[in-house]
Amino acid sequence: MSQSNVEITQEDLQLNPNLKDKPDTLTRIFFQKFMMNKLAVIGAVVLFIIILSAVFAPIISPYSFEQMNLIDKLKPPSSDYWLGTDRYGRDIFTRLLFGGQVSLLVGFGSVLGALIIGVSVGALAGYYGGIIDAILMRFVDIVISIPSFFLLITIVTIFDPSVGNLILIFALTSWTSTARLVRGEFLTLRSREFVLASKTIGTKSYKIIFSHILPNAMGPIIVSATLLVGSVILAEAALSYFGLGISPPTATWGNMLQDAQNYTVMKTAPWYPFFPGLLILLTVLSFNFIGDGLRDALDPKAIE
Amino acid sequence: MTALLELKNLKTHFQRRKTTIPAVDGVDLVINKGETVALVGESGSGKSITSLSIMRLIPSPPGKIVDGEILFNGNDLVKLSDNEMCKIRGNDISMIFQEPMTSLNPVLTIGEQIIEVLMYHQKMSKNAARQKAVEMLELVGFSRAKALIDDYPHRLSGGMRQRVMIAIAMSCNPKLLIADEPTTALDVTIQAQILDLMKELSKKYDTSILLITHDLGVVSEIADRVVVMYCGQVVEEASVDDLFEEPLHPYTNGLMGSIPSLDGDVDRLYSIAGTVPPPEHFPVGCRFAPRCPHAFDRCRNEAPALQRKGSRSVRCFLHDDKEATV
Repeated sequence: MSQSNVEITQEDLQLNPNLKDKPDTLTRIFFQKFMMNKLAVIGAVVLFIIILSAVFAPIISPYSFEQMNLIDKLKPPSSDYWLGTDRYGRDIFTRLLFGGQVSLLVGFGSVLGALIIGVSVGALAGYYGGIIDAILMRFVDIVISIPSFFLLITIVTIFDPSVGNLILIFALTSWTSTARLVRGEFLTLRSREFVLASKTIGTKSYKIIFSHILPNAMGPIIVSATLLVGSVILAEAALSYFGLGISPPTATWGNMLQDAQNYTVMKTAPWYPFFPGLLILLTVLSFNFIGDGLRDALDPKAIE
Repeated sequence: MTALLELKNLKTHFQRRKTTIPAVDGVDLVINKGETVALVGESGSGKSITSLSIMRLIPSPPGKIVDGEILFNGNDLVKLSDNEMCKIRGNDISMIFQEPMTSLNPVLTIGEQIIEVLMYHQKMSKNAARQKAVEMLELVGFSRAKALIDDYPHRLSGGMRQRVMIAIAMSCNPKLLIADEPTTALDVTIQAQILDLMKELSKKYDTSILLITHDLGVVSEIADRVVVMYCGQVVEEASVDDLFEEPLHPYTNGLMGSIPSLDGDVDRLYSIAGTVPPPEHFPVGCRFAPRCPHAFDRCRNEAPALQRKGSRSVRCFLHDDKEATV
């Protein structure tokens, strides 16, 4: 009773003022870690701008990508043509935007395809192990041992290199690394106790694979997918550069570069090959930086 | 009392290259409705493999149930298809593990992990399952269950996670709960809480418990009956009172002697001499003979059978009627 004159405030009742009511969610921790990597943030911003401008190309660009203006061919950058014009007097800026659509579509599309194949194969092989693992992984070895760029060239010369076909071909040649990665993750995760625990409550195998183990392996998968997008864009550009990619007049960064491979063009209009090259560089670099940033952010063992 | 689970001559063997390892070698076990049976024995005596055999979760290959029956409510679990077995796991028989720290999926919230069981077995809607999940969490002693349900497991301590595991295991009112060393990884005060919780829940829902442990303190706390295993076989089976009063098998005797006691002037803690022989080198006669202080010639040449002794049974020639004169 002697203590009754001591007033207890709300603060006194709080055990530890630093203790937060709401826990940090995984997404928030991830976001904070990602923001600490400056290069990755810059990469994300650059990539965001590139994706936005590709998506809104028809709105942003003042011209149509196939509109020729033969009087204005190989014009240097000016207020009319922001990045100059090409050999047929087409606006390079416009063509870069539309080219970005194709490059990014091929990049994301084929990585999505590669993920679907790679994750399924890797998950089955890693989860079931034994004979299934041996058969699937030997198949992966076979696919890896085929020199993919020459296979690409062969397939592209046989089939018409449309966007759809390119996506299909890249997906079919680039899923192997994902499969190996996912298999490795599954091999370690399947023997974890929570997998046994979910078996004891009657969970079916496909559910264990996709809703219990796969989310645990998501980190490395996202990282490798990001890096894969960059390399597919590069491969697509290389293919177009050899004249085997999507054919003109549809613009891609690769076939713009190829179009500029000409002594006169290089000498009189160096901006023509410069800008598509720069964009390829920026995009692939951004993807790689983002990939590194994601790797750090998604790795729970990385020091905060 | 009627038998809920009955193992008859269960044999689970593992194949390693050319050798067969009899991890569980002819185990007979009965668990009645509402009863708590403790399965004790050293590491490698086949306790965990017995429990995984009941769940039909032996890693196969190399493991295989080669002989015997597992009668659950009269149905032989060995003969069920994988699909039928999935319906029993979690619904009629569920299990909790030694390591609460790793038994919960780190990327799913606690709620998701309970809700999943309820939706699958009880065919509940997501909302009803969520409601029930909160109830279950409250039942195992969480006061702020509503907030906890959206938390990830890393926010909980070991004891709290074990409670969550119990909540998951009990959510479908199983008839049998298999607890594989549920308190080994927890500190003593939490052990007592978890044991009390299990006792309380088994009374409330009339759930039988098969408790696997090597801690005789835990056994005396919670079990009705004790089954002692050694080298894949049952060597003694008795009620808790009988067993602690007078252990018959020399191995049980040794286990009892190895408990540190607070009173008495013992300098050195007793331990059973030697180690459990590896399964590929089991002796011909009694498997405990090489370590047994009372072993005689017959023990080394002839394998004893499990014999009934009133309400209990024991696998030892010392209690064989023929050797009564010894």
